[in-house]
Amino acid sequence: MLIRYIARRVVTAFLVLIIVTAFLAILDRLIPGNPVTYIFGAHANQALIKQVRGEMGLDVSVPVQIYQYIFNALHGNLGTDFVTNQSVSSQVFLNLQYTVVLALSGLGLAVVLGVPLGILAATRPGGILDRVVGIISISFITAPPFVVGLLLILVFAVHLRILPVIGAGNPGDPADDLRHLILPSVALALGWIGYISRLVRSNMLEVLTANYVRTAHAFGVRRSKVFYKYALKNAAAPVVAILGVGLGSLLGGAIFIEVIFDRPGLGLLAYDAIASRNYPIVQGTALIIAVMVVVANLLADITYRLLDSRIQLGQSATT
Amino acid sequence: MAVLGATRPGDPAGLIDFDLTGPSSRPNRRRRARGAIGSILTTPGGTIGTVIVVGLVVLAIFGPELAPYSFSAIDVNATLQGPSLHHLLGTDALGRDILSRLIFGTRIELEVAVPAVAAALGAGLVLGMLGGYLGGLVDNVVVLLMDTFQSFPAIVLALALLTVLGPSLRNLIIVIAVAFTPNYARTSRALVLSVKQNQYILAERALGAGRIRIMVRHVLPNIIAPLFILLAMDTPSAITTEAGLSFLGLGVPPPNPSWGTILSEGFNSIFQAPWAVLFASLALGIATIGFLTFGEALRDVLDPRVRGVSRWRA
Amino acid sequence: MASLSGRTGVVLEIEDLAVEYHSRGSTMRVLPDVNLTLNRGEVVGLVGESGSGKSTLALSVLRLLPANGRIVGGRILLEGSIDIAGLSGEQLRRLRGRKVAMIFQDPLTSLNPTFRIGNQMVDVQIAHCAHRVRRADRRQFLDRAVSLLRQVGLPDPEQVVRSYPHQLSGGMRQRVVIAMALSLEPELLVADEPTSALDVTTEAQILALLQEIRAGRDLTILFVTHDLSVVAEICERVVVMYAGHVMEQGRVLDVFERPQHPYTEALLEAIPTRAHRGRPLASIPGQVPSLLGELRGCRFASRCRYVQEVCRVEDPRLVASGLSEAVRCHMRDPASSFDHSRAPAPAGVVPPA
Repeated sequence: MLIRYIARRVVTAFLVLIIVTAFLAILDRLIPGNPVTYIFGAHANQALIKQVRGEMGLDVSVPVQIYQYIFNALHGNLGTDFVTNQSVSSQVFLNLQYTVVLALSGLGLAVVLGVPLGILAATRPGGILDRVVGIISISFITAPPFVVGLLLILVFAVHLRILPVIGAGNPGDPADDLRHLILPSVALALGWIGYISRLVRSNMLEVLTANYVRTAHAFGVRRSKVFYKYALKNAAAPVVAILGVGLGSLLGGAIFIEVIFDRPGLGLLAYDAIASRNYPIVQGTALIIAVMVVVANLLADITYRLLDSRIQLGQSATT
Repeated sequence: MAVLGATRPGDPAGLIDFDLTGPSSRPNRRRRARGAIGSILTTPGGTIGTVIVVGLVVLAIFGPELAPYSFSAIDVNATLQGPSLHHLLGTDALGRDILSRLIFGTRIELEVAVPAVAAALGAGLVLGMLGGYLGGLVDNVVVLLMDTFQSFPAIVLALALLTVLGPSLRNLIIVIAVAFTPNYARTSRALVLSVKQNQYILAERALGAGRIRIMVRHVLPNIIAPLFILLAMDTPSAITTEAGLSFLGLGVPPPNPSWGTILSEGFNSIFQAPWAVLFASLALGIATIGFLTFGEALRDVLDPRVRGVSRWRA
Repeated sequence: MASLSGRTGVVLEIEDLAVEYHSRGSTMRVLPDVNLTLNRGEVVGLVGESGSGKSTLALSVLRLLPANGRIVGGRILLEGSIDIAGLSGEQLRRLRGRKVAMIFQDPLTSLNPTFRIGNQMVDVQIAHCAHRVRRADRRQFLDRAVSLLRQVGLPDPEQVVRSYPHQLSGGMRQRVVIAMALSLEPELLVADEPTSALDVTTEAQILALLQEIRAGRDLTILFVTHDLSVVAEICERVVVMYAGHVMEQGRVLDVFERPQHPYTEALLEAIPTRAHRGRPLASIPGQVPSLLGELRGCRFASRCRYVQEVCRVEDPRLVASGLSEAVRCHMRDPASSFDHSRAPAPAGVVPPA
């Protein structure tokens, strides 16, 4: 049963990636007007135009273009960019690590801070602590990362002057890297800290009304043990599922954060590329990000199913 | 499901839960709606939300008359000033009044966000109904397509599309609509699937009613309410998305004062005069809270059987 | 009835227990004042339909009421000396499982789905361990768990101990729960409809198991159920409840043969037997009255076939009548203003098979 589900999900993910790649491959055909003309101007040399069109892959039919792109992509070749004529894949992979570090630290922060907050709120529902945490969580959720980033800069860099705001730190100096990572990851993670805390709280409260919690109390298991061991494990499962979506959201937000904090990464790369309508870079970046999101979602989904299957089977089984 | 910069991630955990258990006949719905508006105003959250939403709409429509200055009125003698009697919220690097720019910006935000979300609702509704009701291959295709578009973080999708199409108001609306459509498609599909089981649908089919007719006359009225709630709650995401795109320079071109543009310009002078950033952030925050509370109140009123925890009842 | 060890005496005495539920500003007094005595070694059946308060009573013994329920009066005396209603949180915790154990209706949801059986059973023992738990202790607890599982009739206890709840059948799960309940060797077992969720065959097995267990230990059982035939099979005494009041109580044989209370009579009549063949099923018309607000008079008045004016106005007293220890009915109370000339003597009812 589970194997079948996993297989189905993997196939779907695969299909999705194919469509994504195809979509990106032909997207530049949507450009109104002739992209080459845009680059070179209307009165450029026809032969040159023809040559560039060939390089851009625009002189072949759609299916062929898609096929070529996928074929190349699987071999690690994402084409060359318009402006510098360098390999897209090398630029993308160079910047990938920074973005991944940022996104993962944001995710980690969201879990590390969000889960305890949610638990805290669930210990005494309706109480003052619950309300306070609730308000904090909601304000976190409603604040968009780039605004938070700006405000953080305002507070920490302008007024307090204690944390750096530009760049990713000196390479080779992990402590410096870390200092440069703090503000950006906090800005990125804030919304998800709030969301995860609400999710955990909600799950915990639901789980705490379950019969097996009552059984544990009935047998005299200590309140704290019931809370932290019995309830928490069951409440945690949905959080894992969320993380897949979270990564996608964080990767998106990372673009803003990188621009604001002037950090190297895919976001900054894409941002610069857009200004010069340098589509292959955008294309490559989008592809890599999509791949990461799809894989992350797949893993999170499967993990959730593994955890959840026990719960589901337990609840739906008949005598 | 994440949206550009916005931290209302479309509620992927399903903390919002729409529970449909019965048909709603038309006259009842109209009566219920009128009562609904009254009920919204009874809760403090609902009142605040409604006030803010109405206020924003008023500003959007009548802003130009209300604003003390024009949004492009440059005054080189009054650059980067803090709040004062002449300029209630201060001025930016070109001496333009921030308050006026924000007011004009309201119109831009709503001009982009509302049509975009409405278009997403329309497209998502059609796709969701087709997939949910017709099932089979159509459903599989719809689901696959929506999965595909959701595997891009919205901003990445927006970036890709805008690179190709070029930034303009129209393209912004299109891009945001495309980014939000999967959410609506998914929700309406789920709603259709749950409604499909209801007896009266089967009864209609037994009477020989055509599929389109059933979809429009019977399925549609029952699934529309939760979608409108989603619309109210997605509007702030759309606004934030637009602001984000404008911040990156991909939105409406200057000197149009999208809140994102104000933020971006303010960022350049953040060390000398943080006012633009502060007040523009505040504007975004107020708009977000307003629409979210309004949507929550709407949901509590229209669908009192919602399970799960209401985020606002902290 | 003396217990195995020959010890007699009262294990549990519930005195004037009053329990309320609060919801959204309104209060429901589910149990106004209930009195109940359990002697050592007895199996007492607590019967009633939904809303009779029997589950509330059972939950109150260990103070396991849901968050909106509260004990507002009375005492729950364990072995004559400990008032459970007045215990502190920690004292209560130490009592639960150790002196009094409770098992519930749905074995499915009574066990935590994400932990193995062995883990859960060991946890129960750990919770009552006076000293710091060491590795050797865990080993010992696990062995004990295995031995208990064997005692409750599970064929492969080592496997069960390693399993998750969803891997076991309903009957097996209930045996696990029973084993858990026995692990601390309690004096009293409160069973809240333990077989209601099981099929008939499994139910019979579990009932046989309970009897077997009781025979081998000094155990008193309070068995809550809505099924009179189960009461007849396993209980020695029965307490019949309706809308929060004890309506009749006595030895099973006595009550079933000569029910004194109209409600008991109607319940017994409603059980289909061969004698009823060909005739419509008897049922008791009407509904349980709402427990909101104050109620006057006998709570069964609206459905009673012998009802008179006094029944609607005055709450009847509990008196002994016939062979039953206590009956709450004007008809059986010679001192009440009930017109006894108009009441028929209760016919002997065919006891359920």
